[in-house]
Amino acid sequence: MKKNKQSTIKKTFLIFACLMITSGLILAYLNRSRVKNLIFSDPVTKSNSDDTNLSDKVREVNDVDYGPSSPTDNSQINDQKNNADQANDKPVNAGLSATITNTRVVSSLAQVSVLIGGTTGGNCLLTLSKSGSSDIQKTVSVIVRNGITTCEDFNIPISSLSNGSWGVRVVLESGQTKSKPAEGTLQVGS
Amino acid sequence: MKQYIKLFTFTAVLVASFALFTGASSALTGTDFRPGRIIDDVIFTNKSSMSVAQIQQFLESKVAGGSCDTSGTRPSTRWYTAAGRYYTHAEWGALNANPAPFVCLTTYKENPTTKQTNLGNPTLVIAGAQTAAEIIYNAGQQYNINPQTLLVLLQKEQSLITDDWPWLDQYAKATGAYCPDTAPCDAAQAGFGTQVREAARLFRYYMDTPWLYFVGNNYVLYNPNTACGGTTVYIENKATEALYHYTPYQPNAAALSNLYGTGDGCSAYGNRNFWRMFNDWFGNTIGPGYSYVTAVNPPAILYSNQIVVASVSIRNDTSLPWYSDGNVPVGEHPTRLAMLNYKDSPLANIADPAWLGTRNQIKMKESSVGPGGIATFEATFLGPLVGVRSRMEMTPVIDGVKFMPFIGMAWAVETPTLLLNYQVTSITGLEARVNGDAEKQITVLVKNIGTTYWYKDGASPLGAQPLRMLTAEPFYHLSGLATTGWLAKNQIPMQNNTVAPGETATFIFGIHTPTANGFINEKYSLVLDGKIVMPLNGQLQISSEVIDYRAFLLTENIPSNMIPGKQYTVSVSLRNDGSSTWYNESNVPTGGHPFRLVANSYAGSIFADTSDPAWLNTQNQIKMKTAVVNPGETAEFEFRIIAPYKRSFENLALRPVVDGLRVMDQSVSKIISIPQPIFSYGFVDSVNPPSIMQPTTESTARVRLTNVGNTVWYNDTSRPTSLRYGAARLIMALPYYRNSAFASSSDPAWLNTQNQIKMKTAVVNPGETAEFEFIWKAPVNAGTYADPFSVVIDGYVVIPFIGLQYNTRVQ
Repeated sequence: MKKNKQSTIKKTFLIFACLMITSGLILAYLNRSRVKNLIFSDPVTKSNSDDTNLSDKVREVNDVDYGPSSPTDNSQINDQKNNADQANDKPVNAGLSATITNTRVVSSLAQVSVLIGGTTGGNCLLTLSKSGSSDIQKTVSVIVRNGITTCEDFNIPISSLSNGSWGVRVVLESGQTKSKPAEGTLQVGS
Repeated sequence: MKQYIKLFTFTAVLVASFALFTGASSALTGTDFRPGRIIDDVIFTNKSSMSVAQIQQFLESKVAGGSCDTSGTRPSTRWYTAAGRYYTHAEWGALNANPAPFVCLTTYKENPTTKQTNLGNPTLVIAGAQTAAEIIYNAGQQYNINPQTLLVLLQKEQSLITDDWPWLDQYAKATGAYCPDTAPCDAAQAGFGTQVREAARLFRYYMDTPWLYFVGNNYVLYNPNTACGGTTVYIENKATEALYHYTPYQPNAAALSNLYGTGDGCSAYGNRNFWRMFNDWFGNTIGPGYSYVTAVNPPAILYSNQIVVASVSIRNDTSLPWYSDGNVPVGEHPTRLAMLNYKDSPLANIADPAWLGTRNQIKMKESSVGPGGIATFEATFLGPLVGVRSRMEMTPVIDGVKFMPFIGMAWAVETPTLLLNYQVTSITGLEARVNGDAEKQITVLVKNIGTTYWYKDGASPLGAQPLRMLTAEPFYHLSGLATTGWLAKNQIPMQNNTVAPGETATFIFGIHTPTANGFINEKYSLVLDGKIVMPLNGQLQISSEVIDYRAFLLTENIPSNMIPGKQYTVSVSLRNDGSSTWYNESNVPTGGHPFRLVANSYAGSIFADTSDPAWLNTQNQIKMKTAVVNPGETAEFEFRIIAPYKRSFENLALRPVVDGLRVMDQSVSKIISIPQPIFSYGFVDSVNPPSIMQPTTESTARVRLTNVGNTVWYNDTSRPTSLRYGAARLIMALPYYRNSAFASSSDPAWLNTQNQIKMKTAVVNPGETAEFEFIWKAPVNAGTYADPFSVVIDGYVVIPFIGLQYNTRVQ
């Protein structure tokens, strides 16, 4: 009797295992056979996630999630609303700051991009220095350009710069205060 | 029980493997964030990603609680101490100057011109109003920005996508456009419609006209507080460049390690949240770097030795140019189309320089392809000489840098199992028996019933082998027959440019038959040059028997001018220049064939004097006089010809013939002229009968006449049978054919008709004398008789009466 029961369990396991293997193989085959002779059903690129041997694992693009939002999606805005009675709409003044984000030479002009913080007015003082060469200085105004506070273009003709690496220094002056100097380098010539 | 555990473990592993194989996408982690490539240009600017309806559907799916809390009845997260509960949205909004009803993006409307909105009055009807979905969609279309980019921006700035009770201020600075971190927002740019359009415009402007960050190395802060520092970031594309213009900070490690929460005091979240939300809602921000455009596919079945051209065109979705081999600037790398994992393709035609020289990479056709440009990879494939099923999965590779992700570009091509079969359809141009030393042009049609593709020499594409016939047994032996159309006397090129399986190939070639008698039997097969010789199938061979008959005319004495009616005995001498022995009629061996001369086309000759037994009765063949003529010996033909009584200018053309076997080319040809026949005579003398005769008495008479014409006369006995008529006779005249009373029925000189007297002389040539001798027998009745007579050429002409007459009185 005990033996018969064991046999039934064994049979059930075997049937289950066979079903799993068969369905797995069928689905795997169907998945692999999706790729035809370069006939794309949809010209939009779709990553083929079944290729586990790819050097880059790809997540799909333009796969719109129409599911409901997460409760945490509104946490930040709810926090803001909850504290609205204490809110101060004025942004925190982090102090005057100038950050050189990029230096480059374009069309025979040396350009220095500067991100300004703590003010929307004032002047930017640029100093280019190189050993053996005289310093070159230029002052331009602080401007707000499409929502970004920055310095006006410096536009230093490279004809006035010898080839090599130049030290770049920018100081922001606003009212009676100055920012810490921002420093970087500018490569002129090859 | 252990058994079951093992079994279950195996099954579980299998199922788990399958799940991995089918590839559920992995969860986003901070390590996935690439500060230099937050989003690809092609995704950032994909303005067609969603329609208005899809945007609307998306907004409705994402608003918290499944719908807008218009009346504000839902609880807020602000504790209402006095009431011992949370404030409702309406209560807390009212306390902060944002009373219900609330308007969410799902129900928001705005006239883009007047800026009138339905905020505070959801049911307000506004002429010319647009929905939030329309405003977002239109802004995307106008500035070529993905609407999804704007949706994410709206969420990351003011949570407007999910908020079910948004306040007025959220709409006022919906996208954060013109809201510097260290200054108040620009009031002139407030309002949902303006904010969305300006955000799209700014993104486009930053991409097209950057000034703070550029593709390349840039210094990017972590936080507005410069003391937090930053790093140099290599910005890879314009979209990332634009995002940093919009929010000039990168997330620090703390922000990335807590992707859905907060980091530390130096964290900034704008670009992190943008990237995270985009990934969560719209999928990967990093595309594969290319997208499929079009392809020229190879056929599903590629026959062995068949060459096909296939190509794939893809768009460069990266922000960097691609370079082809040979056009790569210093420090850059060529872009190619590679088989996945550099797996060799058995179909690669590496003779084609489009392949790298390996079987796994195809060079780019264009010298360079900039971002958004179309790159073409075109190469030829060659069916191998073995059956193979090949699946070629391809992806671009920046050589030495990386494989680009596989997006499903693959070709599945099968080359059938190699079959080298062929079937001969016909062989023409070589008779069963041929002359030796003769030129023959042979045409062979062979049907391709195998699985190889055949090309002609000179038309064979690079890498494929031309198909030829070749001599067999042994293969490539030099043929002793070869003349024109051969290659090296052991191969014959195909005439057709291509012959696919099922089609028929044509081979044309010349042979020169051997001089000696014997048999031609040469076997051939087909060869894919330099690759494989097809087996003999017993069909491709030429067979014939060479029997060599050639004659050389030594002499002939056939006259060029003939006298009408004259017989000529002529002779022709031919030397046996062949290798066969000639036999005349009497000596031909059993089963052999007599050697004769034959008139052209076997037509009867007008000159045939069939009274000569040398002629066959058919008047078209002349028997050989010599019994047996061995090679090198001379054959004599002796025969009579006769000129008909007819003006003519005829060619007597005779060709040697081995009767029933071969008519030879060599011939006797003689133009013979025969003048207009003239029949005339003159009186010479006569022995006349007495002028007075007793009834029934007889007298022998004789008349001699000269042949003064240009024809030959025959008497009734000597006339050749080939002259149908023509016996010369005396004829009673005035009138002609009048019966004479003096005709002697017992005298054979008289015709029974009693009106003509046969000529005694057998043959009278022009200028000779003809003699007529006959009995003149007096009739029973007395009287005076007059008997005029002339000459007749029987059947042709009666020569006019010239005065010959007998006057006899019977008494």
